[in-house]
Amino acid sequence: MITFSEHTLENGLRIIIHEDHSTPLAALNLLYDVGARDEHPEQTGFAHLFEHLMFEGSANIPHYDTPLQLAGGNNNAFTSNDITNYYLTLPAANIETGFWLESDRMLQLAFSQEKLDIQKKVVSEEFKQRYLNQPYGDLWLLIRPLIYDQHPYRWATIGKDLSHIENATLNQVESFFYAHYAPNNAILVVSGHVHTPEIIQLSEKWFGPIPQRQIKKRNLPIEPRQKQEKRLSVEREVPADLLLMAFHMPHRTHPDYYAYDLLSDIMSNGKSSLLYQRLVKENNLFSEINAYVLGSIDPGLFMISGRMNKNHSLEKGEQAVWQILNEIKQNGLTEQALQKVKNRFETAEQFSLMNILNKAMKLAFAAHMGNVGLVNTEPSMYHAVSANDIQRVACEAFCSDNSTILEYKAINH
Amino acid sequence: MLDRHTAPAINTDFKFSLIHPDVVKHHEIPIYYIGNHSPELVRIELIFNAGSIYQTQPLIASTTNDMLGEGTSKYTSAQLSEKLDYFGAYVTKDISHDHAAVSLFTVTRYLNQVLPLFREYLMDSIFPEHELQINLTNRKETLLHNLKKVEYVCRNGFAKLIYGEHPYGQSARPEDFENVTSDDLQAFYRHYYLSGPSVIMVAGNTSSEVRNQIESSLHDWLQPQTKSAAPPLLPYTPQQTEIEFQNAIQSAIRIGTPTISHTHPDYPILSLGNMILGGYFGSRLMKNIREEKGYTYGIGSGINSNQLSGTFLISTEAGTEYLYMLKDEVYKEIKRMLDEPVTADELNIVKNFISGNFLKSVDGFFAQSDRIKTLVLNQLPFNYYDNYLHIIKTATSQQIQACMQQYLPLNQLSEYVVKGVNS
Repeated sequence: MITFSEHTLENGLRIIIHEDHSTPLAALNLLYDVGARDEHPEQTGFAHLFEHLMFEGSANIPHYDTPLQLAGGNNNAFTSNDITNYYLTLPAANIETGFWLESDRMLQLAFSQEKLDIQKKVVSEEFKQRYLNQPYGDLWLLIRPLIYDQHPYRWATIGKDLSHIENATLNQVESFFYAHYAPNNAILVVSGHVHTPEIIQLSEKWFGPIPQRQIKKRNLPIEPRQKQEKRLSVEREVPADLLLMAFHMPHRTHPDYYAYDLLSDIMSNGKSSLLYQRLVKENNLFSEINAYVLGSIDPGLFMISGRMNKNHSLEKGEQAVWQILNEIKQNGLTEQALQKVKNRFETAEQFSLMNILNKAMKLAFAAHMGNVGLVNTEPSMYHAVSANDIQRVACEAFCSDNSTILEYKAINH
Repeated sequence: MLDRHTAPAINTDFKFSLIHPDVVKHHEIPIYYIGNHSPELVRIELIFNAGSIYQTQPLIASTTNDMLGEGTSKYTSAQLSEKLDYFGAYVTKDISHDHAAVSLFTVTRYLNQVLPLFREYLMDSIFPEHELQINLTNRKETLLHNLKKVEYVCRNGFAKLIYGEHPYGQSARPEDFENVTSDDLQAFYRHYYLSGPSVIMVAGNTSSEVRNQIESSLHDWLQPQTKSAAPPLLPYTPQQTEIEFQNAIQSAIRIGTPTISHTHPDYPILSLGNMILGGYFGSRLMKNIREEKGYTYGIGSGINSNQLSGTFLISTEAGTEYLYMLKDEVYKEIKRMLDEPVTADELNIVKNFISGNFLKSVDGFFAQSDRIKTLVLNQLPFNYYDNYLHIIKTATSQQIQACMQQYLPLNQLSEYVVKGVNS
């Protein structure tokens, strides 16, 4: 159970506070409702490039990191297809430093051509390091545009192509800031050894004077229902073949989300899970295999990804996966199998409540989904999922017409 | 009018309190309890002197560790994992050069059901042949995957450069997987696991009920092992190596030297110098090479502390077109640490950063348990961190410079470069 209070400033900034006095620390999480899905198709990678620029100094503070380090704090950020999320932790006595830093960069960034040029280079190196210079690194660059025809989830957060980053201009970057970075487009969460009245007062003081900005109403194309299987086969310098299967599934706040999530656990969470036991242990077709959901704000994906063992073909591997999917569709699963994943969920949930930064993020994500209370009610929604629900969603998702298959083959020398 | 130019006042007198753990000795094996009766979770971590330095052949230590619970005389691997998973319990295994660890992580309410299963893992593993073959096949595939990464190849090459034929310098090759037998694992298991762990850490819920359950489940463990001798280090000569790596657009670089470890009195000052050079986001290497030049996504330095030795190292990956310019800058920055005292500002930031972030590293029972474990394994006293932070707080630029000169002279550095080539 996470206790919290909610407040909204006049400029629209939403604030959530969670007190936890078992720690000497405080965490501050600032979520901006902007992600790669908000990018122009010819300017992809901007939300993430922008995240880098947010650390390059703001109107009144030349270096973001230095004052935070002086205050004994630590910080980072990430960009997803839906959001850009900034977070820091520090000794609770110094929480005002966090307010000062975060409010100044929400107010106004200190843009310069030089800073932009350097971060373009850094992001290009990141692109190379994570997506081009790793075995299977370009998986998501390949499969996203295949899965989605219309929706901007068709590109990865790093961007479609290095050239989009390389061509970014100062003007474009600046207008991206004013279009998306605003108190009325953000959620602030403060957790830890803090007192609610003081946090409200600090919020008023530092964020209160920031004017609202005009945020264009989001109007994203809706992905049309997939009508037939999509398939792509590529060859690369990798040691083994890899199979990647994607199925469309509902969005994160859909009532069926929990059944899908537990279904992915049944398939690959833990050593006794279905795919691991059958395909890794029993017939050793795969050296590893995973199933997971992407719980995105717009309709998401159920993914299965497995690396083949040497002596087996991708075709055989795919057939074996389909056979298991069909068995779930036809026979459903036992109460025991369902109870098992619920028990594992409970342990993981307990663990996630032991850390104030984790709790701050959970609160921010729930608020972004439209209901902060979800942090406390979701466990019961997982608990309520029945074996029938799981069989039903499996029947909905696991059809050839709803699938995108990437055959990632090792070049045979 | 709000003054946004001036930073809010900060308090830098960070107070931390490391729990003084309860220690119970059971058949001479110490059990450390870090927690109270309120968490609903408990983590039981057993540390064995069963790291890779004790193996006589590659992969034996890691495979033994990884194969624990993959079949016991009572249950098959599948049966055992089905039971443990059912109670929502997690078992994790970990291996390093010096130690092996096995941890159980469970909600307290199922501890009674889970402990007998965990006991099976620890005391009755039988390493069935067919399970072993699956394990070896899959891990070999993972190794082949890793060998396609410049960073991984560089890490192994660098370790070999520094420690040569000593186990600290060794890493598995694909062909080594052909030579592992179930008999080898059983022998290693008997010698290094069945004789008992060297220490047990219990964190989270440590109520008397939990303690009783743990102690009665593990009560008949044998005498603790007498620690086997680790093979001594070989003499070190600095070397430079560059290899080419086909079909890669980035290169990986490691530069470093063997150095002192945790237990040495100069360690706190050296770690302070390391921090300024490359230990955090605001370090000189990050500022110069990422934030001013844009050559890399990230660069850092660190000190890996092992039982017999520490290793100082700088590592990064960067586009091959930047490789030589980047290396020049790295050496310039090392030289600057040796030639000039660090500035008062830099020193002040790092002092606050280390002590503030130390709070985070002791936040919560699990984190505290990890810190205390480090002390126990290195035979350091419980007030070690108080002293450590005191030394950090009072350190001077001159001390740091002298320490860098003593432990990181340029002529003692080795360098390993994996140069990405795209033909």
